Formats: sequence, structure tokens, C-alpha cells
Amino acid sequence: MTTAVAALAIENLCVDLGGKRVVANMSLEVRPEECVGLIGPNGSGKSSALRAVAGLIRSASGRVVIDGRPLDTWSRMERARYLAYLAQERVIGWDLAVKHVVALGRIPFGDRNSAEAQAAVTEALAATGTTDLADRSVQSLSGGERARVLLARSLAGRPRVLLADEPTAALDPRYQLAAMRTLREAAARGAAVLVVLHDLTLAARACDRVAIMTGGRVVAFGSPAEAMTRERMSQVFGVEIYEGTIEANRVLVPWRESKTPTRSNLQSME
Amino acid sequence: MRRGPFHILIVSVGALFLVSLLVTRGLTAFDSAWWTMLVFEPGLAETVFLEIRMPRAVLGLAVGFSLGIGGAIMQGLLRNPLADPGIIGTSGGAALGAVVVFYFGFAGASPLALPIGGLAGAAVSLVLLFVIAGWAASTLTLILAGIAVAALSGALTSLALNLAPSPFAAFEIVSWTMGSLTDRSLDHIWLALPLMAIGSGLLLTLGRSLDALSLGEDTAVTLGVDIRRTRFLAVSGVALSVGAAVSVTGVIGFIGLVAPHLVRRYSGQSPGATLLPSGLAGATLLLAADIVVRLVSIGPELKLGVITALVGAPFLLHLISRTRAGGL
Repeated sequence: MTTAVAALAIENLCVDLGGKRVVANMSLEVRPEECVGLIGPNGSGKSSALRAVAGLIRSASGRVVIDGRPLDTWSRMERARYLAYLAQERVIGWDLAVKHVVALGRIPFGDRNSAEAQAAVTEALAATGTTDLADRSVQSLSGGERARVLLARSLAGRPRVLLADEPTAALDPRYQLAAMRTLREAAARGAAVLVVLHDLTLAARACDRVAIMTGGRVVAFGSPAEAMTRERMSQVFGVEIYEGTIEANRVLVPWRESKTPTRSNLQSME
Repeated sequence: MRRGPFHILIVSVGALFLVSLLVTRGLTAFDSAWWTMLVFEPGLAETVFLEIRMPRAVLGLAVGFSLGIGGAIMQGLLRNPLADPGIIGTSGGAALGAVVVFYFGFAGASPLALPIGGLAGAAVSLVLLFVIAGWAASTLTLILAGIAVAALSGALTSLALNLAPSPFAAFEIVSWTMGSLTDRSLDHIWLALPLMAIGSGLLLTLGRSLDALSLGEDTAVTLGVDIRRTRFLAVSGVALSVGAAVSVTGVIGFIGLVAPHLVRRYSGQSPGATLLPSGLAGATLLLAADIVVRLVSIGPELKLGVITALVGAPFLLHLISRTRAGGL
């Protein structure tokens, strides 16, 4: 693994929502050209952590450092040019044409009609397999097509840091694989990618490192082989897991809910 | 917006503006009396033109523009095609301000008493809105506060009607709230036009933010949009331009709601690109309605707000049926 300076470093981050601590002392870093997965049960603080890193919610303590500079020293526009956030909710308010939606990713650059913007939009459409949809209106798209268009939007700014909240949710198996390939390609072009995933096998295959979260804490951070042990996954998710190997890749299949231990007593595991 | 439709809009506004200058109630430009006056009493004709017709046409254009762009802003901000500039309560506040002037009998003191009362009402309702909702309010809170402010002004307006000192006062109030451009002077222009211009100017700067907002508030923030600033400017801009508009004309409904829909498809549905065309469409609608009001000269004067509602309400029904069909 490279020893490059982290593009994104999260240091002892704490986030409170409605008086409840939802992220506690979270630390991890994402290097350029690296794809880091954020894995954990519902309500474990993954989305809140991502939203705090994106500057959408205030952190209670700790800090987020992007490219060596604390998040709060970045101007709004600087940050928007450097970092893209793909929300879990797939909102598109008006019946815009797909290419216009993707071009919204160029807003921070103020260059929506420039040659560079057009090139970036074309590239983002191609990367997500949505080139054919470019002139369609978003109302006519299926849920999966819409998800890919929004992924293309997040790539149109050629972000150095990409935060993606469940980009594979509601996608069919082929497009789940395609979406992960797209994120890997973004990383290959130099981006630091932090992605929330629920598919354990997909995470183990696509991510360079994974952070396992439960109860607002990162309980393990390392390569999928180190961090995603079968025991830890069973404990964190409260399920029994089958493990196998296909083409030298680990396959983790959640099989049935486990009786013990329950998810609630996992909060203390460190 | 695409070139062709945009040019059609510009030409329509220009043409209707000219027609508006030429038309008077029951006495059109093509009437011999006007030409007689122009030939034999050019001084009087100039006075009539500058002090009666020109203010009416200019206010028609400016008020229509303000209402149209105000509607486009609120629809973009709320991502809701049924939003209307009245939703933040300043139109109601302006109307109440004018009603208070009527109620206490100040209306006769000066021709500007009514619009000044309206502006004061709009200002109070804007301050009240921010006091209730707070500076950092979410869009939803802001709108709920706006609806509350509008309801309160509506209630106080009803109270004024209820307690009106005479049936004539009540009639005056009702009549004024129906909206009209009749007998507006240059003074009305000096009072309201700068405010409408500043308000509309503020609103025209919000295009990019509204475009970003079509992806939801979270995504807009990560695209560099200062969401609080956007909300503040949107609400203040609408309050200024629509508040000033209502102060000089009374309440004119439906133009803010309808204008954006007439132009949206030609603007690629983009909320930012819809702003300027919506203003122009609003100006077209209002100038046209004001010409109709003058041409239909049977019985008592038809009020502008009545015409726009008669045309606007069926359009709203059409819009709802299209929304139900999922075609919006």
C-alpha cells in the first residue's frame, strides 16, 4: 500500500443529532487512488459520518482534514470543487434532461457551457453507461437509471474526494457491479473514494480498505481480509454468515438472523 | 431558454406595452377624440400620455414581471410547481396595510397613502416572518410561517371589513383588494418601481442556486450553494418586488402561479433558466389582462384580479389534472 498523504482524514470525529451521539471518536483516512468502504448496520452512523464530512451537519468535536487542511478552512466553493457527495435520497426536482442533470455537477466551476465542462459531462455519462440517456427526461427513467445519472452528476466535477452514500441501493446486480467499477475507475484516476455499502461481498471485492461501524464507532479499519472477518461481521450485523471463495475473492453471504449475540450488546466492542 | 420562444416573449411584451399606451377605457387610440386632442391640444395630450397612460403601462409591465419572477422563485425554491409568491405572506401583509389605511380614513389624505400603507404592511409581514421562523429556518418552517402570516393578515382584513365604519368603506376595501391599475400616477411609479427593480434584480441572481436545489438541499450545499443566503434572498426579493406590486395594484392572483408554467418547457425545465422568461410571461399576462379590462366597458369597471382569477383558476385545474396524470 502507498504511503501518500491522505486526501481525506477524519480525526476523532463526534457527531450529535437530536441530543444523541451518533458518531463517536471516528478516525480513518482515505488516500488518493483508494476506495474505502464504510460498512455497518442501519443506524450505525455511516450516513451521519458521511454528511459531517460533506459539511452538511456540524460535528460536535474532532475534525475533518481534506488535502492537509481542516474542513472549516475551506471556502464553500473550494470544497464544492474538490469534493462530491452522492446523497442516498435520489431527488431530481424538475423534469430536466439527463445531460442537464449531469451538468449540474459543474455548478461549482461556473463553466457549464465551456468545452471542459462538456468534456467532463461526456466523460461522466460514459463512465456510468448513461450516454444513451443523455437527451431523455429524468421523469422517463427507471429508478436504476436515475441512480446512475446521479452518480454521473457526482463525477462531472472530477472530484478529488468522492463520498457516496449507498450508490448501489436499488440497482440490479449488473448495475451494482457497474457502479462499483465506476467508483474504482474514479479512484484509479486519483480520487479518494469513501463509500457506504451494504453488500458485504461487493465491499470485500471493490474496496481497498473497509471501516466497520456499529453504534457510532469504527470497530475495525483495515483491508477487507483483516477487518471483515466472519466473526466480526456476524457480531456486528447479528447474522450468521457463510463464507467462501470464488475466483480468489471472498464471498460473504448473510444467511439467517443469529440468536446471540444481539446487536445491542455490540456497542461496547472495541 | 430557446431563442425562438424567448424572442416571441420579448416581442409580446413590447407589443402589449405599446397597445396598453394606446388604449383607454371605451376610448381607444383609434378613436377620433384622441387624435383630435393630439392635433389641437398637444400639451393636454402629452399630459394625458405621461401622467395617465404611461404610468399604467409601466406599472402593468413591472407588476406582471414581479409576480411572474416571484412565482418562478418560489416554485424553484420549494421544488413545487404549485407554489405562488403569496405563500410567504407579504402579499397578504401589503393588502392588510392598505386596508388599514382605508379603515382609518387616511386614503383620501394623499394618493400615495394606500401604497405606503401597503409597503408598511409588506415590511411588517416580512419582519414577522423572520421573527417566527428565525434566520436559520428550514424551507418548510419558513413556508409554514409564511402561511401563518398570510392567515393572520387575512383574518385582520376580515376584521376590518366586519367593523368597517360604513358600507362604502367596506366596498372601497373590497374593491381595492380586487386589484386594478386604473388612475395610477407617476408618483406610484417612483414609489414602487425602484423596489420592484431591486427585488427582481436580487431574484435574478439566484438562478444557479435554484438549479442546484433541483437535486435537493443536501446536494445543493455540497455544490457550494449557501442555502440560508439563498432562502433569505429569495424571500426578501419576493417580499420587495411582490410587496411593492401589491401595494400599488391590490391583490392580483394566479399570475405568479401560471407564468412559470407557460415558459418552463422552453427553458428545459431548469428553474434558473425559467426566471427571466417567467417575469416576461407575467408582464405579458398582466398587460393583456389590463387591456381586456379597458376594452370590456359594459357596466362597472372589471377588476384586474378578477380577470386573472377567471383565467388562472381553470389553468390551475388543468395543471392539477396534468400532475395527476404524471405529466408534469
